[in-house]
Amino acid sequence: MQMHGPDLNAPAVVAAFHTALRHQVLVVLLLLAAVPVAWNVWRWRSGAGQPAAPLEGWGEEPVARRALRVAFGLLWVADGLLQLQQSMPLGLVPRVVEPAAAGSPGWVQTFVADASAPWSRHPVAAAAAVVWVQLGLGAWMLAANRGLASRLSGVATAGWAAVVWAAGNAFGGIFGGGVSWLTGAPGAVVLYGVAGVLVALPEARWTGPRLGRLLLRASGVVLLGAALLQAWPGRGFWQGGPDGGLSSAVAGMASTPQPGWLHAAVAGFGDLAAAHGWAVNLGVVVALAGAGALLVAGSLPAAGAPAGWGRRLALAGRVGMVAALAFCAADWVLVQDLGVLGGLGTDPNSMVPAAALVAVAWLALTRAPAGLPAGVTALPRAARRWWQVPPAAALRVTASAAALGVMLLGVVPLGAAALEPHADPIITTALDGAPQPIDVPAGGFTLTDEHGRPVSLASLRGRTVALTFLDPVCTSDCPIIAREFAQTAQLLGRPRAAAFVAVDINPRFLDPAYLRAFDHEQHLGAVPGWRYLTGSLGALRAVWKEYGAYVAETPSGGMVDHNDLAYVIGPDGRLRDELDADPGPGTSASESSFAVTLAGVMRQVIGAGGASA
Amino acid sequence: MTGRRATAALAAAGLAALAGCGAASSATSAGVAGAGGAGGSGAAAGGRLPLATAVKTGTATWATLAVGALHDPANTFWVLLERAHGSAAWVDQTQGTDTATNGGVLESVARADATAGGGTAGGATTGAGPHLLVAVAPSQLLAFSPVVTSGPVAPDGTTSFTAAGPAPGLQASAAALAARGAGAVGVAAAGDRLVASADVATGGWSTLATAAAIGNGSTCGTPVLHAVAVTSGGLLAGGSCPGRGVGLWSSAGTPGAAWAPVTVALPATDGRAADVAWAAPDPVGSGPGGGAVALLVDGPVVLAAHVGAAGPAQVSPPRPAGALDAVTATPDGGVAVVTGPAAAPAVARWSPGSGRWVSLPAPPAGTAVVTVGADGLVTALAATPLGRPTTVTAWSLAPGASQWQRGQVLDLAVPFGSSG
Repeated sequence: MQMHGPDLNAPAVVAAFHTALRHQVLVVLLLLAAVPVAWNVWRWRSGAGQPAAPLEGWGEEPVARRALRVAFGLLWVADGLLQLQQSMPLGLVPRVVEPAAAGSPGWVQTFVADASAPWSRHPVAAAAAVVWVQLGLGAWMLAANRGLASRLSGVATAGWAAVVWAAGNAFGGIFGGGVSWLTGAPGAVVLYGVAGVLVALPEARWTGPRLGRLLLRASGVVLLGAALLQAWPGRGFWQGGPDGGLSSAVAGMASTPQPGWLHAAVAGFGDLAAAHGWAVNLGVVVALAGAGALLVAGSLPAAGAPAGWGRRLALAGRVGMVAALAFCAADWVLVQDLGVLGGLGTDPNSMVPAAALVAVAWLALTRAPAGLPAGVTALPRAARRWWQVPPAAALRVTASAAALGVMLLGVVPLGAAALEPHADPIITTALDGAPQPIDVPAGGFTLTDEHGRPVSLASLRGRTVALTFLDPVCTSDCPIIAREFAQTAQLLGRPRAAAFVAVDINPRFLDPAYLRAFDHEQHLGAVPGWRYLTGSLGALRAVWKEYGAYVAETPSGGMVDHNDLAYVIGPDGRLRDELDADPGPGTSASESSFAVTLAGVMRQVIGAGGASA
Repeated sequence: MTGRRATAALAAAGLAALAGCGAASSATSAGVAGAGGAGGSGAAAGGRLPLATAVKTGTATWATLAVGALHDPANTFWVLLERAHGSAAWVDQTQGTDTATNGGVLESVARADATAGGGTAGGATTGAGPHLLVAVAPSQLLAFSPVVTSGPVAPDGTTSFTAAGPAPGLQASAAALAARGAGAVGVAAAGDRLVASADVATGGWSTLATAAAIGNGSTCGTPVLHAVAVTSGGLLAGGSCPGRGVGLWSSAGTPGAAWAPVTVALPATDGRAADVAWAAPDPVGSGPGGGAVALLVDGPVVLAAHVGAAGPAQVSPPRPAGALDAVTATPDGGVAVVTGPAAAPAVARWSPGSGRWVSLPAPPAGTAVVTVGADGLVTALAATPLGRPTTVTAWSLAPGASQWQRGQVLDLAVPFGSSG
């Protein structure tokens, strides 16, 4: 009767996950095959073969924008590939999402629980869907380099990042305590969102140094803020020892399964932070503040500055950028532990996108195309019709459309999963195995229900009976099983064809008053066909033995230990199915999954009984 | 540090869920009541006391204490230990509850003239002397309190338990249950009312008084109730006050009877409120005109108060509360308290009429509860911290002795990881 979750690598779920992905790969291949076809049709339609004159507005993409787009496109692809890990369907919510929200206020935890419920109910469909959403997003960003398609990829990136940050990342933990830039706050996905917004900007914004200055200054301010947070008294980062803010975070990372060399490096840094917490944090604060100040200095315009300051400011910016990149690299290895290990890593954490943004800021400042002439606010638009673009651009647009299709391959089933309130039976299969068909006469009994009325199994002939064994003073499994039976009755919706019967399995609390208290506690009075039976200890023992119910009184701790069983008895009085009714973690998803499973079995039996009758 | 993109799936799905589909209820609500024990949530935690305590029936001494992983409510198990009079051996009787005891075990002594019912599953038993009434506080998904009564304890410590009727969920507080004749009175788990049963054998509990009615007209306001005690004059109820004053009232204890504040003059309270966290009948004055003894928490200090049949209560000097782990009534009408930390606990006694607390020699580490015999022998039960295996060691301190003597070591089979 231990509350536990399913094996994260439950073979049934892993197999279903891989099967879903294989099927979806076929669709992706079709989409990819359509790209050259569409491209050639397009070329034919636009009169390919004619030398295409250069088109206004279709010149070279600014270096910084290209770097940003490629970097984050690749990050999305990497994240999509990480979603292929076989533990994702069952592991993401309990091991990643819920811990992320654990230190946050109640409203955040409630929001995250509601948002993650569809994944919990449909883990295979959701996990497979996210693979394609992120691969599609990445491919879209990589393929679409200019124009509306490219900007829309930025919008999609920003939107998806916002949703992930709120619902999956508990707002980066910013409403909880103890957040640190070093460990990933305010969430890597925020940086993805920033990248998406930048890609979505009008291309004219990438001309001239203005955007670069802004980005470099913002990067510097963020680092200065991170230094301030790190230095703020009372947040535990100045403290050494195993409970120090930094050392404990690093120790947690070091416990992740990883290569020996990496473990040695991370654990070594953790030991250093534990032994010299104050000094290590001082070094961190100085490094963050120094890099931040240099970046801010580098963002200042040279115009109007005293002679010689232009070079100095540029040098400060360059040093600040190198320092920031070095810091990000060190933190990524020593604190964030590369971010992708442990079987449930979903991204490389924040330092990689942070470094990418700093580098992009520097490129946007130093390698920006010349600004627009005075009075011109936008690049000239293409003069030809939309299909008269150069072949390379046509190929990119076609590829972008295919990438969007890949993304929709994830979005559509994800939406469908969210709209389906009942959980997938595969959760129960992962927890308890599949129902076991049997076909033997069910042992008869005559007991007393919670209202003192005699009830025999024979009196239920003609109905399909779901039978289980419940302890009325049970604190965990039995109330959950009862709720699962109630949900089953609701799903079945055929009160006259079914009965739901529980037999008391506590050898001391046999009084119907206890059964009524349990019914009241679990709101079972309104469940159609519900009966909770008791009797003399002798009569109960006979039923327990007949149905293989194990009962043992534990000496300390007081509880009655018993197995969790459910049977389905056909209208003809024969046992038709046996189910392991262990409710596992007792989540709403696992309860719903069991109810769907039991209802499915009962429908089959009801159907078979009806046919035979 | 890991998840994000994948969580994205959640996100989209989550938004869709928020947009129109069903709400997901959280799974197993916990709600394990304040397990203090050696963990010492104690007095400072808003008047919520741990449950560790000890009582005497006609044939045995009974003690409840928490064992296991006290930082983890799911793995904190309250045990019910018993030692027959004349015996030195403690016996684990937790099995008699047949309920997961993570929420706490409440015990109260039924009086000698009470008739202990047997429920429908067993025959009625009459007490050969006072017997024990035991209820289990709700935990996890259990919302009501199972109740059992003990039979007489044989010299070898054996006894039997009989199911009584179920009670509404009782608060996990040391004095949340009080036997009254064949019935009982309890503090409901929410702390907002007293519930009573005329006959525990059949149950049939109903609301005796609400906290609002009890506190009505006093400077206290509506209290959160923690304790109830049966006295010869009726009932004594104690709790935490949102306003000022001491949360202690007396009443004839019949439905609709008035409740009157008990006059307790505290030294240097500065007008603050003092929580009444525990109360028990005075063993000395349990006859006609007898009173009760209560434990008060006033910020960082505890005080004991002896409430007689008439006049103001006698109040002890204040004593630093620290982590208050256990409280037990002593045969002279006073109290003995155990304060933490668990690694270096302290035991002190106060007797009515005394102007000071008497500190006993430092008890062994892990001491969770003490009992005081009529002969002055003090027994301390010390549990292993985070014990796997879990043991409870009995230590004794003779009157006037300066060192505790190690006695029996009781191995407990605690079902870690299970939750009933």
